[in-house]
Amino acid sequence: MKVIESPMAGKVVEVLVEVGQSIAEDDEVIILEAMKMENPVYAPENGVVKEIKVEVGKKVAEGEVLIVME
Amino acid sequence: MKASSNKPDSESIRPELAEMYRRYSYGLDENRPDVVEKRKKTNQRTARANVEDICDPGSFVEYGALAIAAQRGRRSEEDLRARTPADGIITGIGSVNGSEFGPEKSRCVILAYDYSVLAGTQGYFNHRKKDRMLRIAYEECLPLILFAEGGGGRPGDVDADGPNGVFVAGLDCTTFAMFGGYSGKAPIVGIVSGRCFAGNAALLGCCDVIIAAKNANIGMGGPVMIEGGGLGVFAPEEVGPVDVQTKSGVIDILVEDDAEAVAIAKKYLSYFQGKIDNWEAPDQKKLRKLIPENRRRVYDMRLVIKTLADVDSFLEIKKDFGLGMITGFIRIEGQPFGVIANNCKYQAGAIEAEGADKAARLMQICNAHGLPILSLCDTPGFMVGPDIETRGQVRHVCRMFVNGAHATVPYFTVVTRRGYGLGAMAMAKGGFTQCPIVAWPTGEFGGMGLEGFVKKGYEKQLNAIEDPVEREALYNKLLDQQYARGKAVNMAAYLEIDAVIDPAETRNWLMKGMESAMARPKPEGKRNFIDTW
Repeated sequence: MKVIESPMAGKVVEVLVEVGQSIAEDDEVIILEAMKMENPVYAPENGVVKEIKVEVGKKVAEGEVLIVME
Repeated sequence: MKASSNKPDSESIRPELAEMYRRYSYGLDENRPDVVEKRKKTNQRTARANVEDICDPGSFVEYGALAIAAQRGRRSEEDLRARTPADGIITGIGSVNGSEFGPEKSRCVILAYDYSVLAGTQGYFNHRKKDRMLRIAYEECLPLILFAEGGGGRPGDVDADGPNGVFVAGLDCTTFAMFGGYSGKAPIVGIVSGRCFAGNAALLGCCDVIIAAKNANIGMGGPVMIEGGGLGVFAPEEVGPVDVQTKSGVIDILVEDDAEAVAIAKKYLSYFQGKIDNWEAPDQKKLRKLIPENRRRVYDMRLVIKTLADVDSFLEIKKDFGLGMITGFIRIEGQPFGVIANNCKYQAGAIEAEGADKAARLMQICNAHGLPILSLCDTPGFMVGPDIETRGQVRHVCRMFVNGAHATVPYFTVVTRRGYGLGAMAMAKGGFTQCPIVAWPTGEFGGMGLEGFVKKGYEKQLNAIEDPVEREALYNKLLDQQYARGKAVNMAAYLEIDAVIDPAETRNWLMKGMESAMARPKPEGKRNFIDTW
């Protein structure tokens, strides 16, 4: 089980993947907003999205788990 | 009687020459295998190995190698020769990067503390050696390279401060005043691995740049001083380790070990030694796509710098401090530049106290040593709010105005995206057209954040509208107008910037600017010192 953690504090403004989707390393999976800037979060490795732990509008902290992959 | 031959045998070594070699032999690594072994265990090299590595082969001329610790009052001279060769510091003049820059530009003063001698502490004779080399440096304006490892002032030099010695506290030592006084005269490069405390750290802290290996501990006091001050008992490793000192901004460049420290020190020095002939430009057309079309999307400014600059020519300093500002050195067509750039990934690139300090200091380094400055601007302005004010924001950011205004080196500003408010002016040497300034077509400008400008500037008209949908529509219409006005091409039409350029033409623009800047008469007068912060 692998997780994608948030690289920064911010608000989720876009979720670009869905459960069951195959993703590749460096794919953009989520867009976070902080200071009115959009920051993409990238997949650290290949995998399949198992669980999406956030929704649009949620405020996340640095290190918070956004996505669980397998 | 047969006359004895009076032709001297030039091959034989007479006793006094042999004795000279014997005296020098104590300090050579090949005769100190236990020291070499010990250094290997801590993943460090001996002082002599570091000096050998940084200097061009055969170029090092040593001064004061025969000094021994001022402890004749309690130890035999043979013992001191064996255990305290060179009184714990290798000093001399060597050439660094000579093959690239020739003999005149490559001569440097080298000061390398030897931790294997009394923990690299500063004793009576080693202070005098440093002062001797500093006098030479002052006379000849030579760059200075300091390997600063060591424990600071040395108790136990009984000849100096023992009961029959001629010192009480030694506070009239001239080294720190001379070292501090040298700031700005020529590049001063500080290198550290292992433990660097007290007097050794005091010298390190005066250097232009601090290059530290991962195993470094840097502190104004080591465990002895700390315990002596009643502040507790700490192991050396707990005092100023690199994760503290990178984040605090003390360390400029973190490296793996001694070997990498030397390589980076040579690279750092090279920016101050002149242009190089061998360079390669990345594909400049890539710059046209690096700024996202979505104006709120972050991008990697370091990638912009690396794409603009000659291949492999970007050396960043203080990477882990003041994260909203990137500072460092690059080359363009072999010409060195200092560079400051906003990092939109951190607080949208707003300028905070720490970032402003980095930028101001970079300006000082460039101004002192004659390096042109490139400013890559993408900032929504100075950071604001009650929080940032607790960090002295007003004073720190204004350093950019004062230092920018006093910089006499060529200064160029390229706005890659956002140029808003006082922050953008600070990036541009204090105000647009104080220096040549261009924007890429993605440039957008305003006196302040445009959303706030419209909300406040049109408050009456907006509040007069009852229907929220209608109000929103007017707000958006006014906002669009402001963004249209603030586009780079419009800024240029009103002459607030000099031109809008194709990103792929940025290098050409800079080099043409250098040609005319270099034709200017050099400013006379005292060169500024480089403040330590």
